[in-house]
Amino acid sequence: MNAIAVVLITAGLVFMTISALGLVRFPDFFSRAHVVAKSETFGIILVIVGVVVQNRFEGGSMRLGLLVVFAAIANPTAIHALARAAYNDHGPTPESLDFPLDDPSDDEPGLQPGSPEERHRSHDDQGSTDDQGPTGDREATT
Amino acid sequence: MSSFLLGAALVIGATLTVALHRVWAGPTIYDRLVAVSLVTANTLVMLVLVASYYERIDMVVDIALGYALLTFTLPIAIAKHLESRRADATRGPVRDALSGATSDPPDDEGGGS
Repeated sequence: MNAIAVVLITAGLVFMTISALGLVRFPDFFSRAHVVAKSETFGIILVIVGVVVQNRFEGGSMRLGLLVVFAAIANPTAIHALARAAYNDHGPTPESLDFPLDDPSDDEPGLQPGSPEERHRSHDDQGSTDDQGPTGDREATT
Repeated sequence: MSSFLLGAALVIGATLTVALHRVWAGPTIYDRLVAVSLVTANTLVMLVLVASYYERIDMVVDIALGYALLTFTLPIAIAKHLESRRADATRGPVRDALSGATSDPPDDEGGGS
């Protein structure tokens, strides 16, 4: 029983170490989100199942199983929400995420390679201003 | 076995410290949030390991569940906030700046004709 727990916890530690190293070493945001979403979740599951096995399925093992289920659901959901927010801000390419995003009101060129919705939004704005611009000029000149 | 649990907790603490470098030096706010998510998940696992080391797993599991409820919903809430802030920005001064930039060429054409 102890050997199984040692093997599970060691495998979980390997996965979590790989996740932390990938978070530091990977070049762009979506790679980091990928390594945190998959490898980290599997490491959490392995280590907590190892602790459950080490406690011989007694005590709070039922709640630890609940914790495993919740972590397996919630951790990829959180990383997916972050990746979707980054995609909606600045598009799918890693190059569009190269500049800092701390102040969203300064990066107007970030809207150009953005998601299709933002492209439609900018096209609608251009169409509306093209319709309104010359009429305003004619009224002003005449 | 108990020393193995403590060593595992120390290894997780080391990976947590490595991930804190990404919180400090991440170029975008999303890198920082992903690194914070990894740090909190590692803290949760380290809490469970230390509780198993002291054989108080009955008491600490409830704390771990509350901590998991807080920390796994935190990045979702911040991502929703960032998306809504981006929508407000495209509705506000950024869109006005874009419309001003696109309304300049018709001014030049009107002056030329």
